[in-house]
Amino acid sequence: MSATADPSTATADPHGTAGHGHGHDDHHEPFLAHHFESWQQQFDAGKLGVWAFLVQEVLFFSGLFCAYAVYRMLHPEVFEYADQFLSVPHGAFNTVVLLFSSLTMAWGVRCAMLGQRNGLIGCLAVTLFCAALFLGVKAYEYSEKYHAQLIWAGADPLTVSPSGMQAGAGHLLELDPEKRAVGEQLEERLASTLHYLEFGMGVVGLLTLAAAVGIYYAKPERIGLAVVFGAISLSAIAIVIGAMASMGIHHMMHASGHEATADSEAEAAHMAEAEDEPPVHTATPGTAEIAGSTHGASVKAELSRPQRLGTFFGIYYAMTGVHALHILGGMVVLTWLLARAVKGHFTPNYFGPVDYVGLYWHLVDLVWIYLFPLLYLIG
Amino acid sequence: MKRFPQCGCVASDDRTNGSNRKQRNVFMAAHAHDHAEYNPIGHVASKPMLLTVFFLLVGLTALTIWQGTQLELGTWELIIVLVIATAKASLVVLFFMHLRYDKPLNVFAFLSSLLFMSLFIGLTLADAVNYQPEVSAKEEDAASP
Repeated sequence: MSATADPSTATADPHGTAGHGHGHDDHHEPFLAHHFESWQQQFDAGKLGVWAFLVQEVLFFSGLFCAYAVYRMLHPEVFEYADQFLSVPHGAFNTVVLLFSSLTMAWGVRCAMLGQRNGLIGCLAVTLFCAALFLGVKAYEYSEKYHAQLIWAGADPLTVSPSGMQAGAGHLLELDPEKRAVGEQLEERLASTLHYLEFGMGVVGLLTLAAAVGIYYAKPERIGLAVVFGAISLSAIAIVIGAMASMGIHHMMHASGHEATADSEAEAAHMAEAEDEPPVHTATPGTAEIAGSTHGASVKAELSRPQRLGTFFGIYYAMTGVHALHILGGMVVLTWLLARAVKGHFTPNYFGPVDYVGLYWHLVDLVWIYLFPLLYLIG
Repeated sequence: MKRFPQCGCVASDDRTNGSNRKQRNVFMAAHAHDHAEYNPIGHVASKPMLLTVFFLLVGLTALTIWQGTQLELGTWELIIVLVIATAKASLVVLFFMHLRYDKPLNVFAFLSSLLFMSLFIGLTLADAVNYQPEVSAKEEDAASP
C-alpha cells in the first residue's frame, strides 16, 4: 500500500498510516481502497458510478417503453383486447410486494448507516424473500398465459403437428377425451405445471437449507457459503409461497366470477381460460385468430383474437421478462450483501455496497411502477 | 472537542482529541448509539419518513387500480395513469433513493437520463405518426395485389 503520509486528510486517516513508516499495514482498513483519501470520497465516487449505471438502465428500459408506445399508438385495439388477459389482482399483489421490498431495502440502508448489523441482516432477508415472492407470482402468470396460448408472435408451444398454423387451441380439446370445458382443462394444466414448480423449488429449498445448516456447524469459518445456501433456500421457499398464493388469488377470482355478472372485472380477467366452445380457426395463414369465446352462463360479447395479439404479448414478455431478469440479478447481489452483512463487513463508514444495491433495487421497483398500470390497468 | 454537523452535537470526550483511529471509532460507535440518526458520511432516512413514503405509495397504487378498473375516462385514462405513476416514481426517487439529500451531480445525471428518454420516445413517436399513413398504404397494397 501507499504509505506516504497524506496531508489532505487532516481530521481522519482511515488508511492508518499516520505515525507509521513503510510496510506497517496492520492498521489498514480492509475495505478502503488505496486510491481513495477518505471513506467519504470512496462512497461518493462509488455512488456516482452507480448513478451512471442507473442512467444507462433508464435508457435501456426506455427502448422497451418506446416499443410499447409506438405499438400502442398504432394498434390501440390490440391493447384493449389483451387487457382482459392480465389479472389485476395478481399484478396488484406483486406491486405491493415490490413496494414493501423497497421499504425494507431502504430500511436496510438505514440500518447499515447506523451500524445495526442484525437489523441490516433482517431487512436484506425480507427484501430477498419479497423478490422471490414476486418471481413466484410471475411464474404463475407466465404458466397461465402459456397454457392459454397467449404467447409471443410466431411461437406455438402446444403444437404437436408440423402443420403449425392450424394447430393452436384446438389441441386443447382433442387431447381431452371427455371434452370438458376448456376453462377446467386449462386450470388443471396450470395447476399441474405449478405443482411441478412447487415440488422442484421445495426440493431445492430443503436441500440448500440442509447444506446451509451443515456448513454452519461443520465449518463455521465458511459462514459466507452457509449464508449463500440459506439465501437460495429462502428464495426457493418464497417462490413456492408466491405460486401457491397466486393459485389462491386465482380461486378467489374464480369463485366471485361465477356469482358476479358477465361484465364483472374478475370474469373479464378470466377470459383467458374461459373458452368453452371449440375455437374456430380462420384460414388466414400466419395468424392464430380464434373466434367465439363465451363463458358458461355469461353473455359476454363474442370476442375474436386480433391478428396482432402475438406482438402485444411479445412486448409484454420482453418488458416483464427483462424486468424479472433484473429481479433475479437483484437477488444475486442481495445474497452477496447478506453474506457480507453476516460477516460484519459493513460499518457506518463502509456501507456503500448496501446503498448502491439499494439504489438499483429501487430502480427495478421504479420500472414496475410504470409497467403495472401500463400493462395491467389500461386497455 | 469534536462537532457533529448532522446532529449539532459537540463531543467533549477526551478520547476524540487523540489522533488514534481506534479510539475515535469507539467514540463514534458510542455516539451513533446515543443519537440513532447519525452517520459520518450521509443522510440517514428516519423511520417515520420511510413508513410515510411506503403508505403513500400503497395508497397511490390503490388509487390507480380503482381509477383503472372502475372509471371510464377514455383518452384521459392514459394521462391520469401516467401522472399517478410519476408521482409514485418521484416519491421513490426522492426519498427511497434519497436523491433529495444527494449531491447535485447525481441529480443532474438522473435528470439527463429523463431528458434523453423523452427525446428518444418523443422523436420515435413523431416519426411513427408521420410515416404510418405511407406504411399502411404499402401494407394494403401488398395484401391486395
